[in-house]
Amino acid sequence: MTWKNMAILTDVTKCIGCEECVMACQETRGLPKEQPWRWITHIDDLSSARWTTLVSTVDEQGQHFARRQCRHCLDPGCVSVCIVGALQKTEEGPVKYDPDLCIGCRYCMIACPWQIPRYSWEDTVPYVQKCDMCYDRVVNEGEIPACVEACPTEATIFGEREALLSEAKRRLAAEPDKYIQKVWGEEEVGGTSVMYISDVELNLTGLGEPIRDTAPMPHRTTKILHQMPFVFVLMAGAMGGVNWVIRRRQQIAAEAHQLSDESSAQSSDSQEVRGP
Amino acid sequence: MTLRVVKTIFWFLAGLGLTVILARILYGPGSVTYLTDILPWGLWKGGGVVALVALGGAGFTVAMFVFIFQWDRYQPLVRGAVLFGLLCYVSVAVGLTFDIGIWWRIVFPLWHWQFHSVLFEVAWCIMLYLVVLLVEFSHTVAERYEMERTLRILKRSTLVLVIAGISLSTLHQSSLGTLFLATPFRLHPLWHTDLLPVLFFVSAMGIGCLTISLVTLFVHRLYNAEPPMNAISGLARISAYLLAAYVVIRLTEILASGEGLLLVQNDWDTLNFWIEISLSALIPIAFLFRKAYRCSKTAVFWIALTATIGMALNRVNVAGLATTNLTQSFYFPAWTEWAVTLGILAAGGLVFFFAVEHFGLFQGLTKEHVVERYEPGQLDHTDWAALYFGGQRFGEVHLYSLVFVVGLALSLGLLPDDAIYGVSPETTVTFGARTVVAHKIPARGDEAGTQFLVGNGGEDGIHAAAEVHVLMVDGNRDGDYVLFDHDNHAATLAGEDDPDASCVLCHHMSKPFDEATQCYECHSDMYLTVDLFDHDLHARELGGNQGCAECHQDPSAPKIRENSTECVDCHEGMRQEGSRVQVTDPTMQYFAPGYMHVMHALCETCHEERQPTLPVPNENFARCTNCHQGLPSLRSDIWKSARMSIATYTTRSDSGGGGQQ
Repeated sequence: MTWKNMAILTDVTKCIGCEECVMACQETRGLPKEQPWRWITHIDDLSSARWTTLVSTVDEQGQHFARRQCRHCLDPGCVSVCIVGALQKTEEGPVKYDPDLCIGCRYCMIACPWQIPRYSWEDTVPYVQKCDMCYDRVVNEGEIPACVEACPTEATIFGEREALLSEAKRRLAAEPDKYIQKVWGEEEVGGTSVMYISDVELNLTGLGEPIRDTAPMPHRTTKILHQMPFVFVLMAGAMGGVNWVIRRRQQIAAEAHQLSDESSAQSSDSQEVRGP
Repeated sequence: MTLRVVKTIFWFLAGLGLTVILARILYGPGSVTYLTDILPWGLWKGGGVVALVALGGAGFTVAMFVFIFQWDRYQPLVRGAVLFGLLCYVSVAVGLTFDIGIWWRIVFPLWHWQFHSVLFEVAWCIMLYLVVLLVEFSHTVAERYEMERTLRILKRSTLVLVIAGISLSTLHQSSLGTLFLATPFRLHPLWHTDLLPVLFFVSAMGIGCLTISLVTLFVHRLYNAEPPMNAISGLARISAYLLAAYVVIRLTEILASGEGLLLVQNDWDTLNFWIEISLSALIPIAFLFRKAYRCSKTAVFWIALTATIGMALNRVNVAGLATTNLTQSFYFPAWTEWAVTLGILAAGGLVFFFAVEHFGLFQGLTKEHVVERYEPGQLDHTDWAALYFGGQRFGEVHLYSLVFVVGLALSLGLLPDDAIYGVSPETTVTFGARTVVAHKIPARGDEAGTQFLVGNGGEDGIHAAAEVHVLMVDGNRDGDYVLFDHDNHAATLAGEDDPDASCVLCHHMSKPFDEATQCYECHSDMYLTVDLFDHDLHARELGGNQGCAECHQDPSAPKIRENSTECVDCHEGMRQEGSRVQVTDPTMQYFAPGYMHVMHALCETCHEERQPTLPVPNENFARCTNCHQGLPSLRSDIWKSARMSIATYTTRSDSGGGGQQ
């Protein structure tokens, strides 16, 4: 089976918070045992041993659960900032990480708008750790991601992004009073492959404010980066030009000086510039 | 402060840092830093790379003034500036190597090209500029060793090199700002702006002028030489203009983007902002626009020091410190992080001193100034310390070797355990627990439970009972200690195949800051949030630990609902005739009914009674789903995984194995 632009849709109204997805992820991917490391600042946060986790909020209707995981952005910030190309957005949808290339600069960790990539700080040779939508399982074995498979209530489903998007819209239209009329991940930061529909407002950034900006993350840096060759040429040209003008003027001044007083002609030559 | 003291401190810091770098190679960056997943860039990146590149801007700035603009006034500073720049960039390279997770992969960007990555561009510009600086500095070396041919080639290529250096610097100084355009949701709006590249470039030139002035003044003072004040005051004036431009751009941008109110908030970020901009720009500008201060060695020294610290703070802020608010994280560098950053800087400083003494960096600082320092003078042969560490060359070598080794050793001694044994999880401690010795009297006959007696009770048979260690734990963090038989819990809860399996039930591994599961999380029948019986209130009213026996009259029985005094024994008027809460199950007469019992007994009965009288028939009215909404269905498997917040508790009728549903 060939996959293309695969995605995950999570329906917050269906999630019962059983954490089967978390356990399935940890077992399938062989993640290390969760331990109380120094850098774990709150319980059940994403970590190198937990690639997906549940966050919940309580309101008058009760408790709502949503699953945090890598959003597999369509135009990912992490991929654009990676210095060696260890992170790649694949055709199949997942954002894949290549540990053989990673140098550990951790720029992806601060460039991710969702605060997803984690680091195995406990290791002598640490790597970035994040969900890759079970890339090998999905692409090579033709299965679906472990978390989706484990979900007992079909709160999280797997499929092509377009199909999931229309399914999400269908659900929104079918029960307009139940859902907030919005698909999280449809447009934020240029769209993500992991989307949510919900009956409560979601903020899955790990920060205080949800993201509303629809511009893809790479645009913020590449718009300036692409100017750099011109800046280089411009700066070099300007410096060369300014220097030529200044030297020319010095030369003219020296010649004028020479004409007015021929006896001091040699003195200007003796003024040797000291090197750096 | 004498040169010897400064060098001693530098050698000591270099020793401290070297040990930590070696330790970091052993167990990775996690073992010696306080970095976290949420704040993965700290002092090594913010201070050792981003700030140091800005300070190293002195190299290209002064070279631009001298070789492009032909401002001969700054000629005396240019060699110092080039070497200073070179040392800054070498320090950056070393610091970055050990900051990244896999240090031997620092060379990967050489052949894994990523043209969409700003960091890739910065890395290449810095590498190329490092080469340019090396070639520029080789001019000085060639001159020192009178290599005429090399010198001729270098002289001819000077202009090209300088132009390349300026262009490369323009790129990477500004691109260091571009790096942080990728973090718009983390960085505080006072620092995050699309103009970061411009701000970084302008401020790098401004601060470059001041740092090279600072270094020149410092070095000349140490060697008792007369600094080139004409050049320094000129640079100070230029830097005042550049810093003023920086402040104007920055403040205008903040006001124009409608974030002006953030400037007058009463919080840490605003305070940080004003401290930073005052130190880095406002104070220097205020002083440097006056000629009297510009021409005073002392004034320029202190102003330049202030500005350098302030601008370093700016870079550290952008790289991490100003993200702590929005990310709700906390970070202060570990001493090991300081040791590495300062150690690398100190090593760079020592190389600078070496160059000052051997390569004639400054025209006003001649061989005489250097040699003068090494005058042995009159040595007292009876004073071994003076003889060994005295004024001669070897005396200094002895001293510096000693402090370097002391630095190494001290650092080794102070290294955190993580750096020596590998990173280990935080230890979980039982809060305030203490062990007491008790006599354990096993359950007799049909009596439930085991009895513990602490101390000499004097009763018969006690001395025959086994002495065991039990814990006094404040299991619910409410100030009341109870006797806790740890061994018994471990044995009872453990599975047959894995005796250690029970540990995690209470010492919950995913609860790093909640060291152990609290008692009530298992013994939920006393603290159930929806229970009609409020155990806490009763304990409080009855005087904490003093009142336990009021209800738990039998000390040998487990302190659970079934073995305790009935509610009606104290609250005599509790069960009224005709009340709808009629507990029909005789086994439940013993204790106060829980919330679920009340609801199931009361609501269900009433609904069933009322259903026939409903004006609009509703078949769900008396069904479970009427209350238990939000469940997909009441299929039994879903029901179990639903984990209703109304938890069940064990009752006597359950002990036979029946579920309470």
